[in-house]
Amino acid sequence: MAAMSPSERRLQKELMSLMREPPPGVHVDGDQAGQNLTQWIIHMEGAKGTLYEGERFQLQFKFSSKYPFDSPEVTFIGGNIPVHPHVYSNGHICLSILTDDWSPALSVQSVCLSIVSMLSSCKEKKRPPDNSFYVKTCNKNPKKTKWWYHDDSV
Amino acid sequence: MDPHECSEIISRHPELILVSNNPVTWEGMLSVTVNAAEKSKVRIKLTLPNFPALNGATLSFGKNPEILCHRDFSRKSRILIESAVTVTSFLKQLQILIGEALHSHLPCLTSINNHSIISELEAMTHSPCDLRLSTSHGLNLIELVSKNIRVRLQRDAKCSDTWKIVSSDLAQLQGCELVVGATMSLHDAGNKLDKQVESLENVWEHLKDIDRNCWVIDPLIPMPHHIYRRIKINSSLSILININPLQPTSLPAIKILGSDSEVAKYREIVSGNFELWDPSNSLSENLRILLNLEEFPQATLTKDEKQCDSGLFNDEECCICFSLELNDNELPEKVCNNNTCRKQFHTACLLQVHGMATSNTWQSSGIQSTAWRLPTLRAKHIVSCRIGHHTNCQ
Repeated sequence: MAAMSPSERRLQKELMSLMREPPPGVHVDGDQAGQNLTQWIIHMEGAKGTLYEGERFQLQFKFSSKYPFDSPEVTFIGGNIPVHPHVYSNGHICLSILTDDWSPALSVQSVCLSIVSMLSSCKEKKRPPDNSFYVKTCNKNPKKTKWWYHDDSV
Repeated sequence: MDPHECSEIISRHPELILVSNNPVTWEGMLSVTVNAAEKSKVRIKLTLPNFPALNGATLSFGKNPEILCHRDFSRKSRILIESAVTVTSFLKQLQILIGEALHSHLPCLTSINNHSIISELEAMTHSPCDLRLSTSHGLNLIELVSKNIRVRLQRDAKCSDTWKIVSSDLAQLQGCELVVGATMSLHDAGNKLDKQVESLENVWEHLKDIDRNCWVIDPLIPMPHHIYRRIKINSSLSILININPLQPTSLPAIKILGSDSEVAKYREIVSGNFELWDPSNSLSENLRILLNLEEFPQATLTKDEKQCDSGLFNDEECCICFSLELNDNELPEKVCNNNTCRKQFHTACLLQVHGMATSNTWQSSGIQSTAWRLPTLRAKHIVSCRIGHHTNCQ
């Protein structure tokens, strides 16, 4: 077997940990991720007592070879995209740790926890105010979002 | 039956007997010349259903050296049967073929070169050095062992007097001549190993004292050439000592590693305690006094227990690559200055994050300490998240 790169080693370790001790309401598709370490599907349940209780979501994580120095590309996918002021209808999430505030000390698990807590703290289910414009004009990669916004605002 | 051919075979190979006429079968001993000094006999059975023609002939050997069962030999003998014109010429060529096969597989004869090596080895075993010698078959590889320190040498193909070091436990020791690739005579290698081990023995005693009493986090598995130890003092501080092989009991080179505040605190403590260093104390005792400790902290978990730890990464591991060892046994040596964080990092991982970390080295009276600032790494935000709508976070 070829030696794993530090990036692969870390992803392998994260995957094992996430499969063994998933945070509540979070479940990783281990078979799929095991086959391709650079793209994971994570199933998420809306937490009890929140607006999203009983709902199920799917998150897609894409990792570049520079992970964890480069943040993962995280989007909601599938039929149910949570209706949330920070989640666009195309699945893009506006969460600072996914771009500007990303730190290599963060992990898939901490991103999942952040998203769970972001959903849980929601007071009113609605789309972001600029949803329709954003969805029409944004890049496929949510990590380019800020650039798009700045470019457009100038 | 061709009487002429028969008498020819009988005269050339008196030990081959015609045991059957239908089919014609010759059985008996075939004499072969292995080399100038040695002749041998091989039992064969040659069946020739179309005698005197050779087609359809089968050849088998009696209880013979393994080499004659070898695939390569069988192939060659088959070619002989196919190409030979007469049985006599076939037998003549078979004699040569067997002779060559036996010759190439003779056990390595003791040559004149080997005699000199043996006498050199003999001289070494009689010398006062406390060396253990072992050798490979054929005297091509010699292993010298002294106090568990191994050096392996391989004979130079061209010159039997020089040996090349192919592996050495002391290879990474600074100033040591027993490095991989070096060439020398066996005698020199033995002497050098003996001297080196003798000079290090004292150092190892002191290091053993450290290993017994302190929580050593680096090297993970101390080897003879490791004459440094990194000792964990608390979650954000460790001390790296480098022993002077010539004066192991004197003040070693000390490097204080950890978060800024802890490093500053211990730098002060150590500076104040220099004069208390007493070479007649044990190294661990001196260090304990130097650091103003009641006792050294002990490892909280054994290595096996750490393996069972199912967390994402444990306290000793780098919180960037989630591993303990990076590249060439590099262990995390940076600690986050944030007291509530105290995460460990490999220097290389951090450099990759920040392009370059700011570091300055403080040096005074034998102590070296690296003052280092964890740049804007937001390690503390592991769980707390900052949610910002992109239209608001300009």
